[in-house]
Amino acid sequence: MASSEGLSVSTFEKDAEKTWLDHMHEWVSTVDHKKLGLLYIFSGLFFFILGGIEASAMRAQLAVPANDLVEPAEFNRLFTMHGTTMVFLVGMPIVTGFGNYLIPLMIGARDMAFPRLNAWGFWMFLFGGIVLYMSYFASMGLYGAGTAPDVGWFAYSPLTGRAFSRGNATDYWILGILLSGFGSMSGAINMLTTTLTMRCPGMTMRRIPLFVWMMLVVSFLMLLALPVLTAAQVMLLFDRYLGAHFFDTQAGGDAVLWQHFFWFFGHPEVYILIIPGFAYASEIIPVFSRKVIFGYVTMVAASICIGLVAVGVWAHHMFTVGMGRGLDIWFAVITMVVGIPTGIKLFNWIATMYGGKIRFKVPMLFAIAFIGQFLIAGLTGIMLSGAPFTWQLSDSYFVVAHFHYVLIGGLLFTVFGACYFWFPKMLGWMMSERIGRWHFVLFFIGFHLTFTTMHIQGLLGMPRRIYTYEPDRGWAIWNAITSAGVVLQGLGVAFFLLAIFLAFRQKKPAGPDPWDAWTLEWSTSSPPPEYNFLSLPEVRSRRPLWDLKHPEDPDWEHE
Amino acid sequence: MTENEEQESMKLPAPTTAPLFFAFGLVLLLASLVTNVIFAYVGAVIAVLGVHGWWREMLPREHIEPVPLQPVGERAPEITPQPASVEHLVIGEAGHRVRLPLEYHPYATGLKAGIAGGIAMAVIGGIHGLVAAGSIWAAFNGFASIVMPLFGASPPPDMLSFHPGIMVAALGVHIALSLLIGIVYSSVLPMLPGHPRLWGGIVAPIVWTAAGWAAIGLVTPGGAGAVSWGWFVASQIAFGLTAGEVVSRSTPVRTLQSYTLPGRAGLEVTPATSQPEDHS
Repeated sequence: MASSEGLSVSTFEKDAEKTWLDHMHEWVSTVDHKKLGLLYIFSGLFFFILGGIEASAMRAQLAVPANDLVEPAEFNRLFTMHGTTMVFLVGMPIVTGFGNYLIPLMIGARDMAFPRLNAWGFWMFLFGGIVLYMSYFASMGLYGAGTAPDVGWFAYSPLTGRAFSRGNATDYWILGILLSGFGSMSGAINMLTTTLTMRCPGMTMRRIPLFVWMMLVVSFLMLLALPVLTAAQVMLLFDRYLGAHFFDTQAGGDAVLWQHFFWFFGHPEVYILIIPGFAYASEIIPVFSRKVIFGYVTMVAASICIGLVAVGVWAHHMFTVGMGRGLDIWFAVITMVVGIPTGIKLFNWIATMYGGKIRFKVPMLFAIAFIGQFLIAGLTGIMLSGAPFTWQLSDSYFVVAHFHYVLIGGLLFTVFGACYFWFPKMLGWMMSERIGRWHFVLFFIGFHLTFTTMHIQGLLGMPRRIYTYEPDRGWAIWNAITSAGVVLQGLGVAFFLLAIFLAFRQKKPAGPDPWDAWTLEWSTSSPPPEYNFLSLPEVRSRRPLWDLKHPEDPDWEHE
Repeated sequence: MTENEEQESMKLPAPTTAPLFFAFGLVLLLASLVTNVIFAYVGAVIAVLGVHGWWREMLPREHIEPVPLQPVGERAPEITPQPASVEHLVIGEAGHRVRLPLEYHPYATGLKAGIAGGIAMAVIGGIHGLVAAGSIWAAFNGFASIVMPLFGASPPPDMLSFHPGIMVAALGVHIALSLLIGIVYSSVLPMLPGHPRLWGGIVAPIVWTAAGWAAIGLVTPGGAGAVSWGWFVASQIAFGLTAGEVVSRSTPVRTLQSYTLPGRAGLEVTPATSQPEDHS
C-alpha cells in the first residue's frame, strides 16, 4: 500500500506542475469515457445557450404584434438554427454524454468497448456543430448569398434545391448534420457493444439498471434511424452538386420522398431524445422515493415496445401531404398504440412514488414535474395522431407546443434533474440545493407560461414560423405571455449556470454516495478514478449497493 | 487487501490525438464543398495522418499505459451495512394508504365486456341513425371521422350512404376502443368502492361525455354540429351498463397477494384469507 501512496503523491506533484497546455492536451487526447462524457455534456450545454439565445430573439420579435425587431429572412434563419441546434447539437450530445459517462460505471466496466472510436465520435459531433455555425460567417464571405441556413430544421424539398436555396447556407446545414450524425452513430455502436459485452460478473441483462436498458434501446434506434438521414443528405448533396434529381419533382424525382426519409429518421429521433429522459427519471425517482422501481420488467418491455413502434409511425408527420386514407388510418392507429407502453411507464413511476418516503430534493422536483408535463405532451400527441385533428392544426402553434412539451417538459426537465443528480458524482462537488430550487421554480413557471399558452395560440389559428402578425388576430395577449415566460426560463437557466459555477468555486465535497443510492456508480469515489473500480464488482441483484447496505434483507432474495 | 490494492497502477488505453486528427481531416475534406478545394487536399492529408496514428495505436499491439491508482485516502470507503431501516409493506396495515387488488377479473372478462358493450352501443347508434337521419350508416360514417378526415374531405362523402372503406375504418376503431375500454372496466371496476354498475354504467359515461362535449368544438370543428348529445349519452350509458354488468357477473380470480409465501412458491395450495388482518 505504501508504494501506492508514494506513487500517488508523485502523481499529484506532477499534476501541480502541469501547465495550461498540458491540461488542454490531456482533454483533446483523452479516450476516457468519463472525460468524453463531460465533453459531450458541456458542449451540449454550450450549444443550448446558443439555441436559447436564438429562441429568445424569436420570442422578442413575436412579443408584440407588427414588430420589426427581427427581419423576416433573419427570422427564418433563427428558427432553422434553433431547431437544428436543439435537436442535433443539444439533445443528442447530452444524451450521448450521460450514456458515455454512466453506462460503464453502471455495468461495472472500466471503459467503453471502443475508447478511440468514442473520442472520434465526440470530435465529429463537435466539428459538425462548428461547421453548422460557420455558415453565419463563411457563406456570406465566400458567396455573398445569405448567411445561416433558412430552410427549417427538417429542410423540406424542393426548398433545399438549388433553385430555391441559393448560395451554400443549406450545404452548411447538410454537412454539419452529416458530420455530427457520424459521431452519433459511432456513439450508438459503442454503447451497444459496451452493454452487451462488458458487464461485470453477475450483471445479467435482467439486472442491468433501467438507465442502461433504455440507452440500449436508444442505441438501436440511432443505428436504425440515423443512416437513413445520412443517406438522404448525401442524396441531397448529389442533387445540389452533381445534378441528380432525387428530390426534384420537375425532373422525375419526388419531393415527398425527402419527407419520408427525414421523418423515418425524425420520429425515432423524438424517442432517441425522450427515452433517455425516461432513463434519468427511472433512476432518480426510486432513489428519492426510497423504494425499488415498480415493475422493472414491464419498464424494460415498455421501452422495447416504444422502440419498435417508434420506427413505424413516421408518416403521422405527413397527414396533410395527402397520402391517402389507408396510410392515414394506419399511421393514426399505430401512433395511438404508442400511448400504451408510455402509459405503463407513467403508471410505474407513480407507483414507485406511491407509499414511498419521498425526498423533495432538486433532482426529484424536476422528475415529478417531468411526469405531469410528459403526460400532457403524450395526450396532445394522441390528439395529433388523429388525422382529422392534424388537418385542423398542422403547422400551427399547437404542434409547436406539443413538441416543446415533449422535448423541454420531458427531456430538458429530466436533463436538469440528471445534472443535479449525477454532477456530484462527475465533478466531486455538490451543487447548491437552494440555487437549484430557484432554478426549478423559475424554469417551471416560465415553461408553463410559454408553452401552455402556445396551445391556445395554435387553437386560435396562429401558424408556426410566421415572423409577425396583425394586432386584430386575437393572438397578442397570448404571445406576450409566451414571451414573458421565456424571460423566466432564461433566469432559471442563469441560476443553473450559477449553481455549476458555485459548485466549482465552493468545492463542497460530495463523497462517493451523496444520495444513498443503489447502483454501481455510487460505489466508487466522486469523481471516479480513470479505471472506475479498483476491482471489478460482482452483483447479485438490480440494486447491488442496497444488498451491501442491507445484508439482512438483500434484493437478491426477492428477485 | 486484494490483489488490485497491492498493485501500483492499472493498465488502460493510452490517450491519443489520432481520432481528433482523423475527424478534423474528414471535416476539412467535406468542408471543401463549401469553401475551396485546397481544404480537400489539406483535409485528406490530415485524415490520412489520423488514420495512420490510429493504426499505430492498435497494431501490432494495442497501446496501453499504466494509470496510477488513487491515493488510499481518496478511494471510496467500503460500504458498511445500515441495518434496521427496512420497512416492509403489509397488506391491510393500519393507516396505510395501500389498496392491493386481492382479486381481479381475467382479461377475457374485459374482452367480453368490451364486445357486449360495443354491440349495445352500436345498436343505439344504429337506431339513432334510423330515427334522426333515416339511414343506419350515418352513425358509422360519423364514427369513422375519428381517424378519417371526412368532414374536411373535398368533396365530402355522402354521410347517409354505405361506404366499404369507411365502414372498415369505423368497425376497426369501434372494436379496438370497445375492447380497450372493456379491459379497463374489468381492471378498474372491482377496485372502486360501492356499486360497479353505477360507476361503469352512469358515472364513467357521463364524465367522458362531458369531456367530449367540451373538447369536440376544438378537436373537430366540422363535426361538432353533427353530434346529437342526447343519443350520444344514451349510447355511452348503454355501453357502460352492459360492460359493467358483464364485469359484475364475472367470477374474479385471486391474485398472488392473497397467497402465503409458501403458497406463492407452490408449496401450499390453500390460499390465505383475503380479509385484511385487524391490527388495531
